[in-house]
Amino acid sequence: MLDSLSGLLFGFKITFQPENLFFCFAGCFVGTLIGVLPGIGPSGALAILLPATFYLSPSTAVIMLAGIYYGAMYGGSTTSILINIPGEAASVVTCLDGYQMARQGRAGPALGIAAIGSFIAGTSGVIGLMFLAPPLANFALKFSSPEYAAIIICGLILVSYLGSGSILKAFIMGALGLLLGTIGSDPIDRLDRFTFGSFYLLEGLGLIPIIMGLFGISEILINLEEEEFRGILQEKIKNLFPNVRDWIASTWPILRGTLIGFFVGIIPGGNTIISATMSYAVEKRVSKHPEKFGTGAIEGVAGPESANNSSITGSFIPLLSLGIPTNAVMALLLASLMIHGVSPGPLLISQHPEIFWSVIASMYIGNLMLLALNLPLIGLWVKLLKVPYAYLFPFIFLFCLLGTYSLRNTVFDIGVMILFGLVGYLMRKFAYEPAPFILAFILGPMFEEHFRRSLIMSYGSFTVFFVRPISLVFMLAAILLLLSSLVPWMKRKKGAFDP
Amino acid sequence: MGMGPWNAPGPGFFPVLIGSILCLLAVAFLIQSTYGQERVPKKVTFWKEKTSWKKVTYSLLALIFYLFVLNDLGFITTTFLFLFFVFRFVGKKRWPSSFLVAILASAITFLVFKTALEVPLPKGIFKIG
Amino acid sequence: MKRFFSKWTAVGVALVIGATLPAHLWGQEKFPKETITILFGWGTGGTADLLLRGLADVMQKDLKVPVVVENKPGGGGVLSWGLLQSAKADGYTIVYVSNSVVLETYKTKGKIDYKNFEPILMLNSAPMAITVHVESPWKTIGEFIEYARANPGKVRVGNSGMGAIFHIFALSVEKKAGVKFTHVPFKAGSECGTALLGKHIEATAPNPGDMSASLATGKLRLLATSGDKRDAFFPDVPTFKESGIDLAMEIWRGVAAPKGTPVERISILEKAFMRAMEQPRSQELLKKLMLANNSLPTAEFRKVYYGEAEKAIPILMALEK
Repeated sequence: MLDSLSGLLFGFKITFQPENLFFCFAGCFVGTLIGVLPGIGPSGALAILLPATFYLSPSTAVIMLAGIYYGAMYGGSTTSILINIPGEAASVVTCLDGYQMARQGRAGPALGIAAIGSFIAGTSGVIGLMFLAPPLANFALKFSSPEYAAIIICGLILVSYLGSGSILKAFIMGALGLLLGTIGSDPIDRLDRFTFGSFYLLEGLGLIPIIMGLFGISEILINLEEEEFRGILQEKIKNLFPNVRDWIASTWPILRGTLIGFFVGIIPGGNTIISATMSYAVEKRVSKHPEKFGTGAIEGVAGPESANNSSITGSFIPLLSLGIPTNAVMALLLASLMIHGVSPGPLLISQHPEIFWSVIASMYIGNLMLLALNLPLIGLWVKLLKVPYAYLFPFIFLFCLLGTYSLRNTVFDIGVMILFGLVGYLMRKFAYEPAPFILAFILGPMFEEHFRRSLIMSYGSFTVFFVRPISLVFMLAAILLLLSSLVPWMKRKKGAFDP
Repeated sequence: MGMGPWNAPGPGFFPVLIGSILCLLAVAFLIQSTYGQERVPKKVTFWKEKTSWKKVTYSLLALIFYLFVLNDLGFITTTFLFLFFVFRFVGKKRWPSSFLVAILASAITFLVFKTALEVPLPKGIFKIG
Repeated sequence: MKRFFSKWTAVGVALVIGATLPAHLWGQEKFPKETITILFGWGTGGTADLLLRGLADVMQKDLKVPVVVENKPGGGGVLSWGLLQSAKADGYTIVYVSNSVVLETYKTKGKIDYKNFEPILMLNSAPMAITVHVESPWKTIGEFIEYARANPGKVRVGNSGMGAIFHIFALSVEKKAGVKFTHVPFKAGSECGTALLGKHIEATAPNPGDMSASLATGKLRLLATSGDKRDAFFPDVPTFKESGIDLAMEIWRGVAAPKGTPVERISILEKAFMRAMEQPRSQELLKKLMLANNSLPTAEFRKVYYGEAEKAIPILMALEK
């Protein structure tokens, strides 16, 4: 306990350096902007801004990137509530009741609760992170390839949950992601697969060019189809603050949302979308007036908004203490840490305490900054919504191009990005989800590496996954997850036979 | 590209495994779409509007142009041409404003990336950043 | 009206293109007068990368041109060497090389060829070591070998990649000591260290510098080092030779330029690097990274560089069953 507190003070000392404060603020600001502007979400934004952080120190870079991430969460709720367009994926849930509240003239309370709930959740999450991460790090030395392989299996199974459309399509996207992940030199023997002699493909298709193409470029292309894009905002926002009744109604949803989000964030595959959706489902279930959901129930805003913020902090735990990214954004943060020469993992806290604690301290500060940004500055954000897309999108293109190029100083990566921009565009047309693809693409090679290495370490015995206690736990979890995902399918089949 | 024995999979193992899974899924998909119980989706047109394809195609062409020309013409020139084209033909802004914005944007981005962030940018035959 | 605008805009566009005319018409060919790029074939954060970046920083101020390190991870260095082979031999692009470039020559069947590079200087050389966990039962390399002999295939030795230099080292130990290990490949030396700390493997082959993080925990013990003499950082650890195993290998790291780079430019680069190494900042960095200060100038490095082929390739060939 004392250890953690002294660590935290250490972190605050570092974070309060002007440079770090500036970049923390910059991250939060940019993040909110990205959250507010529909189009590129946090993963796209992180991908684009990642090269810009090369020249910063590691702690500063992570502080800024983390700020962008949860800034985007805060910002995403703004447009969801005001004009029913989610600023980024997880805010979709907020649209359901938030927009209805706005139509009833209650946009102020909705925005207010969203911001405050996010703050409470974010801060609580950081506390959780603070106390859980160090013990977890010690415990983490017990993790080796078999454990990682088992965890990743859980992640891969969860990925199939992600598709909101047809499960089959999600599986297909996942399988494609796995297949494309094998391009490059294989993780164990280092023999080339599918590289067609190109030196550039030796490490596989670049993750960032793919993400930028799939999420960034394709989004712009889709938006370009409309002649006039982006409705103009009409109303002025009245009273920003929730009244007492709102507060009372929101207390439990915020608390529940915080917990749900935090723990979902820790699990591989768990992300903000799942957290928000789960929170909404839970609130609806426990509410005394579930029929009100969808017509402007404040619980439907308070819960999900809290959940998506705490899930961010939750997802930092596996990254910082085990070096395992649990979703695409964390993978980008991992990449940025490695680029700065920091390998997250059990040794991170002992070797780079300045990074770990300064990031945590900055999260506190970041949450405060975001609260300050979001409440009074809603007017400003909304004006940005009025900038015609026609001025905006060429710059988004430019940033994508620049960002991709500066990764390896090669146009090859730009080519990959454009290709996947086209692919992503077509995918959306035919209702295929990009998320399972990306996660499988990331997790597939990781799984192969750990799986094959486990077999080497066990002298060829498959029992290694079940004999070691930690990996046994995860394997059982994986089996449970698999079974539970089949249950609805089986129920449907049974239903088909009922008279 | 050996597949290796079962308990020591080689480099070929996973690609083959995934490939087979993909084939199975593809077959399942075919079956589902032909015999499945999903209700027939309502007619959805491919493009949202009649002239949609223009903007999308022009944008893609502009991006591809950038890709091929960047190393030869250098950053500033290519970016300028790209932005100009996109503003004018995709964004449908007028010539002068497109021109102006394109120049300013190229110059500013160049300065920011080169001086503030020290990112190496291609020089091209014109020898300017 | 529209025609008017089009015409002027065309003029404007032409002017802009024209304004970006060759600047090289002015100024003479002084070397170096623009950015020097050091290609590095791995991701950033490793010992060598940090060393290069430290040196680049110092050299920038010395040479008054930007000196940047570009990471081109791919195939264990192969991408960076491939890129250098097609780079202009004007001294502005150089690459980091290590024993691996010779190994890759053999593995890629000449697609990458160490003979396509001109050595500039050797930054550092270091012995490798067999390291075990402090709580393991072997206190000397002798005990370790005995155990390995009695239990063929049971001892798991971590390395940083199949076919890479540490793997070769472990294979050489096997050959000279007459034992059989199980080789466990990881992605980086640091990962080996972490696995060893967690007792998931018995020993590791990489050099201590790459595992400095894990070593710092004090829970690891080096059994023997592979140099001709004892490693200055570990004076209590005997060499293989002292322990009765006739093995002497070192990993060396240096920089090289494309073949055909003018000799004067190589010399300028060599001297710049040497000056950078002598700076107190660099010396400190070397200590921090646990690298010995044993750089070699061009002439000596060439001997090591070209001599490596004779040493390493036969091992590779013999060990490919």
